[in-house]
Amino acid sequence: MMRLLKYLKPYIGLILLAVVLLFIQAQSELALPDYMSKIINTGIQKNGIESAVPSAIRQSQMDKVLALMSDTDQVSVLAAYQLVDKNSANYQAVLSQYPTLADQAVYVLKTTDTAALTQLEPLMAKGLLTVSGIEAAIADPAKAQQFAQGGMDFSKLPAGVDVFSYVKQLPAAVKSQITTKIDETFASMTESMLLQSAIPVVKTEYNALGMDTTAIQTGYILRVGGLMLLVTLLFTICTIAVGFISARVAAGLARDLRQALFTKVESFSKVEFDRFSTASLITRSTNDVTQVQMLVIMALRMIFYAPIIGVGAIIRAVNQSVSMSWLIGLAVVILLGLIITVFSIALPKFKIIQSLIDRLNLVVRENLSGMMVIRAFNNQQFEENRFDKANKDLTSTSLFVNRIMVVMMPLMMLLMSSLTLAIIWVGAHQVAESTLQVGSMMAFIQYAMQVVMSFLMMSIMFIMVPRASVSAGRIADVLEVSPVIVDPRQPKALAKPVKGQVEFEHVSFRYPGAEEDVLHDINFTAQPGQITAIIGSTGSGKSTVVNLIPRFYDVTEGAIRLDGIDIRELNQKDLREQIGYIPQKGLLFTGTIESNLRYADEGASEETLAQAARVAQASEFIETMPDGMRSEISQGGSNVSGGQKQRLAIARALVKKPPVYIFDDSFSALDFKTDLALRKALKDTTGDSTILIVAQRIATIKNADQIVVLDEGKVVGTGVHHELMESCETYREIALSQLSKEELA
Amino acid sequence: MSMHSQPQPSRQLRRPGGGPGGGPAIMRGGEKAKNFKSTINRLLKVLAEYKVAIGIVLLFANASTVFSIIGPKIMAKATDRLFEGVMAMIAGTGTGIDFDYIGQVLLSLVFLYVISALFSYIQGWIMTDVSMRITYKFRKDIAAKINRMPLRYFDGTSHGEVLSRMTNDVDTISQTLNQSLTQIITSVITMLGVMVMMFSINWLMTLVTLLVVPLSAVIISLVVKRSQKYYKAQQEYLGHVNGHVEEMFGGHVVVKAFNGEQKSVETFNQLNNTLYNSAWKSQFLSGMMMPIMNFIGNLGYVVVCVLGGYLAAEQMITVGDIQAFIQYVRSFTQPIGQIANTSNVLQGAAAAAERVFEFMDEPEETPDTAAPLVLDHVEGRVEFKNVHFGYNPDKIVINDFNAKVEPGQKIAIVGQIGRAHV
Repeated sequence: MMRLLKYLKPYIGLILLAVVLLFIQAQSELALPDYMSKIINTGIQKNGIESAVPSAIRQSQMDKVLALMSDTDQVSVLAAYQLVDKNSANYQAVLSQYPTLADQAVYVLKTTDTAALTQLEPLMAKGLLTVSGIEAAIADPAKAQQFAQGGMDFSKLPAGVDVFSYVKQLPAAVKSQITTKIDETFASMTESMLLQSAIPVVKTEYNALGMDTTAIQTGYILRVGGLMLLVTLLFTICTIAVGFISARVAAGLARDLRQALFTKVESFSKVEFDRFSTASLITRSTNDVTQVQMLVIMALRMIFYAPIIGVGAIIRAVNQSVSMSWLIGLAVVILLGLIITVFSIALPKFKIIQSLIDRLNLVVRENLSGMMVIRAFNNQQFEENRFDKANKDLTSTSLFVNRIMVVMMPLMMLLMSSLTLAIIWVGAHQVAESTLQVGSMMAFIQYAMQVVMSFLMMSIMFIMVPRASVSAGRIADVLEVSPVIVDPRQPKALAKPVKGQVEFEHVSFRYPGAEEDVLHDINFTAQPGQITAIIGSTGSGKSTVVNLIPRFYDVTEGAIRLDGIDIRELNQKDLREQIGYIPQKGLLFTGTIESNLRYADEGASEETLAQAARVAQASEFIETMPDGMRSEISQGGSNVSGGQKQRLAIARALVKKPPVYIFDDSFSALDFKTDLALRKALKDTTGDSTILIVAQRIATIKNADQIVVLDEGKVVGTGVHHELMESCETYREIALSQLSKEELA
Repeated sequence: MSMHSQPQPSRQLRRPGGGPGGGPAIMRGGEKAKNFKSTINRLLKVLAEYKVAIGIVLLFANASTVFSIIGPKIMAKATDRLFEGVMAMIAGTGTGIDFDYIGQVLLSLVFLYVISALFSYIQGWIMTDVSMRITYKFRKDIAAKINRMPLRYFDGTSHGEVLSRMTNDVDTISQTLNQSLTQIITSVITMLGVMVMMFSINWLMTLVTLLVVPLSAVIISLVVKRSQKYYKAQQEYLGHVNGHVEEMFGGHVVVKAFNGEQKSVETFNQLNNTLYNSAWKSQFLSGMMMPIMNFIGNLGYVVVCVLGGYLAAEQMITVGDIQAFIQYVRSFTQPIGQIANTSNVLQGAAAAAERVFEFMDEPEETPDTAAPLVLDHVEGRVEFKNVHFGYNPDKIVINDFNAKVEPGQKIAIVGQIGRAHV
């Protein structure tokens, strides 16, 4: 994948945007359990009252609270509140909020400074709890008993004296004694417990102020719920946006890669085609590109997201409870252990399965292609046994792997459930110690699940990404190749009109990477207006000779000259303009017969097309087709026969009317009668062109002006038929193997 | 992952579902079996051989699902007792948290979850076994069938086609059996079970969360409709692009010889751009499913939190119930997608099974004569007497051919190409 990075460059902005969006997406997804915990901790448990510092307090009640405070504490409390009475400017506004104001003055919280409020919370909680405790004691003798044991015996008070006003009058030393006592009572309580316990007192105060506490609670829940809804919406918008970006980037990259590949491959010569093989180049430009496209989408939507949400969830979970994070760590370790164990057993088996499938395919393929032989020799039973063995091997290995893979799901579910249970158990103890609240514990469970899921996702990625990046590597292999055959920097131009003389001068050739020459020291000249035939047994290199002329390959040594100019000094386009090439297999393209013929010359007249067809002996069958020239040709020309394909390929070259014709064994699929008629017609039309014919049949080339005989890559004879019959042993052997003495004469 | 490394264009065009994927199967519209009902019936007949095993699988799958569904509700009891303890502590009453009770509940949950996992594994083990045995049998039958087929059949059918039935199609069937079948059944059980559990907790919250289902159904069908259109277009243009690539690479020498590179690249770029335009749209729309499903899931979550919070404040439900509900809502939205996908999965499996059955039903070669003559002294005299032959019955190649070949004679058969001398 790294090697394709430069193709991602145009999309770098979009990718960064996607990552930013993923961050927002993760943050909003992670915020939800936090809000849930707020609904439970504050909304339900604390009746929607967020702070132990009441937003307002009756003056009478405040006096009581202040009475039991140290002087410094009194100052800081009073600083935070404003006393409102009938004469205050904001009387009306405050009245509507706290109806009790009509009867007595009310302290209203004025500070909004969070730091000050946090500091104030334990003070107010303590104060409020003490006041409510003392009040309860006065009302209930049983409780008073408790207080008495604590050192505060209200029964000692003179009858009719208010406790609070009494305390207020006490000398500072005594008072501080009392406040220390109070502090000691609360010392056993954790701060969180202290604050939570004060909430009911605050609620009572709110009721006393004439506020609707139910409305406060539902209002709080709805407010948090509304926020959750907004966050969910934000989350969805981000996800959709990321989906949009990833689709654009992935499809765009796929398009760019496909285009780069295609353009590159079109610049390849046969050298590169031999290196990669046509089938492999096709797979790389189609399937492999799709694989990369999928990989990019996966990367943008999941690979980047998993660590973001994983880390985020860990941070949030730790925020809820540091002391329980070891549970998550343990679960992740078990999860990774599980995945590593399962895959270290299964992955090597996957490779074995792939090779067993190949084996099965091979057996069937052989069975299919050798069917005639198998049936003729009655070997069906043997083949079936062979197949059965392959089938059994595949089945038993797949069974093994599947049984292991089946373990994954139940164990994963068990792990997650156990983690939840463990969190509840450990969490319950922390709740008992008041270091954790129930809502936070529930949020912690959800964060823990998210952490586990993200690790699960990441480990799946680690398994999948290397597979997909194999495709990326295969694409890069093609893109990084520089074609061997390129145009010269300063190309020469052919003198017009081009005569078409082709001259081989000490030409040697070996395939790239091969150890031996295929062609060795070839010398001959093909003259305009003449037919030059190249003949030889299979593997003699005769096709290779003509493949060198349009520069499908470049010569290893020596030179080929067209009208005296080395073809390597010409532009490939200019060179090929002069050549009418007819390939061994009549390769046709999808379209019509006409479009195939016009492939040689867009602007050819109807006349030219008809004449080319006539010369190529193709008119006869074209006319019998219902649509004539406009008959459809399917992909690869599969709807016409081999002989018809060859004739159309010849007609196509004729449409071009080039100075040089190359027939690369193009008569092989024609019967002798058609072959003869075609050659006769050719001679009349090609006129001054140079004609090179590669053939296996002596009859095809018997009348050529010049015959070059090849044997194992060397020229063993040049001349006309009767000369070669005399002088060339190889030629005579070929000739005698095909024709009788009388025919040859 | 295709099993063949070689490109098989015709197949890809015919089977978009099997080609390079794009989004969940639900987007693909899938291919359909010509005769869905009879194919499924026949497949069921094959399955009937394993009915005891499949019965056990269903039993265990359902038991495992039910156990895991009960879990959250029991867990709620632990949470509730915990919450009660806390509230009591705050109020200054009570004796703290009842750890004995919570411990008991959690232990019973551990037991439940272990049993559930065990059942789920046993279920998976047996189903793997069944599907593998069926796969083996299908392959064996196809291989045996190949040897009984008349040679004529393979003139009209490529080897790749036959191979593909043996590997891809059989694989699709086995995958469907192994994963989708139990998944579909457990999805239904999960949905029903979760619904029952939710109703048992609080009907009002359940009704409100269930409102999410038709909402999601409408949104999903809208998205699917649009995205299927683009998916089909994408597959079609992908076919064009791939076709062009194959053709141009296959005919590379001709392209080069006739200086057709530039034109070929131009055509390609045009096709490629068209593909891009439908590809990203298709990708984007099919990618919308997840966020929308997530949104609906989170919507349910918010509803549970808000409504649950309100009801809990009113003392109508407990905090544990909210926790259980959150778990249920999460496991409720999941199977919706799976069930929505069911028909596609089944259609795909049916289409694959149909191709396999089609092959199995092809007429076979004339079996050997019942009472073959035994040749004991073979001289090698071959006589053709009024022989007619055609590769296809409607295209006779050899008409009334008579010839006698005596031992020791050499006979030549001469004719123009395509004149049937072979």
